Amino acid sequence: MTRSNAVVQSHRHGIRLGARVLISVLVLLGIVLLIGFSVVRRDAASLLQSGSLLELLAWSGGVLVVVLALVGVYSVMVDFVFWEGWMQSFPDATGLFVDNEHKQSTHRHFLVYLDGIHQSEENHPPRVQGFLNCLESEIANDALLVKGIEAYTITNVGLRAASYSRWFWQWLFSLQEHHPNGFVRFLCSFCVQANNVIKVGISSDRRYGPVMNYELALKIARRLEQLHFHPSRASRVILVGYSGGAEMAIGTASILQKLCCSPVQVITVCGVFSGNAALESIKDVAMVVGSKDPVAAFGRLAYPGRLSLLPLTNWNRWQRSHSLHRYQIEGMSHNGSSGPFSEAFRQKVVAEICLELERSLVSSLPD
Amino acid sequence: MIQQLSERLVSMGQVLLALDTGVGLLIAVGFSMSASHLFSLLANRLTPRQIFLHMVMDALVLSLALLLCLISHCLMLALLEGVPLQPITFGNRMAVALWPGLFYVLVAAPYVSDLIAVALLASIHLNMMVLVNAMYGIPLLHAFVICLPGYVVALLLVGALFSQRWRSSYDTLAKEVALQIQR
Repeated sequence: MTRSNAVVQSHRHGIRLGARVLISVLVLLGIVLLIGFSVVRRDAASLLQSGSLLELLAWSGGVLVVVLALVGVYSVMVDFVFWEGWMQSFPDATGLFVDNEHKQSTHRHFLVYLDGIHQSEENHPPRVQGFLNCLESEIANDALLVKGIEAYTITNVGLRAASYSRWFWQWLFSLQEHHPNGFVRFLCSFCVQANNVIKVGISSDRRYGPVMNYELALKIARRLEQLHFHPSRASRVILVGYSGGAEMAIGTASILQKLCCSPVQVITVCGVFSGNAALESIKDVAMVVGSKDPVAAFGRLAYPGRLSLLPLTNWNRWQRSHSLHRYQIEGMSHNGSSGPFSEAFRQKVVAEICLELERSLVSSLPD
Repeated sequence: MIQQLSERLVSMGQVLLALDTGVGLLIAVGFSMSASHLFSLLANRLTPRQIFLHMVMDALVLSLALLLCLISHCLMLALLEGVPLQPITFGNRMAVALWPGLFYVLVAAPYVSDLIAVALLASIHLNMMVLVNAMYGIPLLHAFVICLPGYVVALLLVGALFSQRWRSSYDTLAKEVALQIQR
């Protein structure tokens, strides 16, 4: 074993140990909470007094903030471990697309779909798959739709095979699929979504966003490389992000543009995004929104940087120098039977995406 | 309501006075603050040894910033209220107000970090006011004015240190991406 390998192994061992300690702390915290809960149950009578109830609420709130923060820190830690090259795949973009010089794809436009926070594996749920099939049939012949990119993991594998937390996710997915109790299944699916929400939070965080967005951009670029993408032939890359995938799309756009040496444009569908990412070099951003979408509306509050009341924010400064194209679909909600993947709205969303693709293509042509 | 709130603040001041942990807490708060920005050191591609040294240095600089804050309070007290200058005694008794800073490490969490930071810093400021009130019997509004300049100075110093760390990490990232694209 070479010395550098030994150093990497030692780093990896250290990080694994750290991760185990953190998980143990979280488990201990859970046990303490459980004990707390049993004590609370025993003293249920005194709990009914408003003073005790307020105190309990304050403590629970405090513990929740601490747990959320610890889980967030763990999530960031995994990203930075990857950034440091302490995991198997080092984030190195050297030699990207070089092998494709002689086997270039016939496609010129590459649409990359980034799913919402419900995504737990590469395969999309049937309803999303139906929407993607519809989109695939409507786009031009020289455009290729790239599906199955996990937007919330940084390695090429899904949560099921993530390096440090594989056992946890496998256990969670098995509960989600096989547990007879509906509440347990709901709880498991909630955990997956919470993990993805944290990733959206990391991407939008001005401190951690650049590193995570670089890693995701590199993952997308590597996928494009597998599809014989080459900058000399490709005309553009279009990132289509649904819900939280919109944040990932906007976050990665600028870096992906540098990695691919091709223009990148973003189309968000019911997007929840911060607008904190570096957008100066991105020319086209379009939003497909539903008139009855409460989640996207909440996103504007959760990310106040997009409110017009704050003119100096990154997003508002970008809007002053570029035109944002907004396509509103009447009656469309965020998900379910009136969401963008439903039978009722699928065609309309696809039509708006195709319209935007056409518009941006025409506007990019020289006069 | 206001009367009730005022009474609670006064009793909080008494509790803080009883705690009396001394300036040792300053260093612990400095380390907690320094640890909250550990990832910026990782993003700078430093070795574990360099990271450790930077963390210790940052902790000391942050403790110094907080110490300056306490000295400023002391000066303001002397200027506005005529309290004789006793920086060491004052610092020893006031340092306990910094206890919420022990949780500053949680600011490392993504997205909710600003909320946590603002809550902790506000709570430190409130503790300072309450302690000045408890120690010298100065009304809370006056205590607010006395504590404000030092607090602002400390915030500026802490902010400057952290923003410099993150800026250099972005530069590292940009440099590495540019190099990889050129190859």
